[in-house]
Amino acid sequence: MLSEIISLLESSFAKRWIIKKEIQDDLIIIYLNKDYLNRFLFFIKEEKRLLFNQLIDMYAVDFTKSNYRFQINYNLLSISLRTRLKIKINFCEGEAISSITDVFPNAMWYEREIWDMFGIFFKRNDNLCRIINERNFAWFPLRKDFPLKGVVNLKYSSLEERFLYQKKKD
Amino acid sequence: MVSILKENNFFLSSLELLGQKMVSSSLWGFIFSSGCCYNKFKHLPRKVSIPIETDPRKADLLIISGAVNNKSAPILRSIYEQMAYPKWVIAIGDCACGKSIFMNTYAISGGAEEFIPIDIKIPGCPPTEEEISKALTALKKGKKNAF
Repeated sequence: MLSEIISLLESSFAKRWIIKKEIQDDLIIIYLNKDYLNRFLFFIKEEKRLLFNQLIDMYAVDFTKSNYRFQINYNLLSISLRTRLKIKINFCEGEAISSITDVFPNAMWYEREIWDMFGIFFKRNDNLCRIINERNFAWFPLRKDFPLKGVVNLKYSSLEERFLYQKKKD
Repeated sequence: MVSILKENNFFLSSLELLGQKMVSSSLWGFIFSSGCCYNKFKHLPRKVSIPIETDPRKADLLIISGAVNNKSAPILRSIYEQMAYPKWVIAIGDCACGKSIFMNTYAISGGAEEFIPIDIKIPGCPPTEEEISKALTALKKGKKNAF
């Protein structure tokens, strides 16, 4: 079953699209070239023998390596074939990824969370703004070089009747 | 009071005592919860529990459970300022009191006491139903700043 899926994928795409393939305990992992993301996902969703039409989850990882810093993982599920697929994309800091909201509309909030926490920019996403932290939060908390206890404290002064930010010590 | 009324047609009292009895038997609560401690408050027995009001301008009691974010702190402050006097505030659980495992992070800077004056704090993670009911009965009896 899994080998049939992999042979289908190999035969339908050129060699520069897929960098590496792995199989781990009934899960197929594909390392993809980031320029061909939208076309790959559109083919996988519409092809009648594959039908991976559910985006389950999407998350980012921060490896502090020199050649590739960030990695984004996509979890896909096919109900008709009863298999799962994992797609990984590696890229450096400062590069922008194309958004997949035209293929899977539920990726909107996942991409907003990744932008809020890691600072990865998604092109052609209409509503890319912070979703978890406040609007004027100026840092990206889940990167590895962000301090564990945060940078600022919020206080309310009843004398002036307004909110103040204070820097945290050490 | 009722036995005195049956004998004579009048009774004597002070305005403060009357006011305390009236307010303590009709407390309406407003919920501001972002945590799991409110699940204990929901299942209190009927003698002790408090009816819920969805408009802060008509509520007497503000019930806080769960940690207060930097994002929701201005909202909490505006809800507190919209309530009319006399009003009381209860903080249920460790997170609302200010000593939780989420204490020193990038989004949380202390409990609810930094933004709002609190009357009763109930520590525990989560506090038992007996402790919550004891605190509520104590609030109904000994009220400061009522009239």
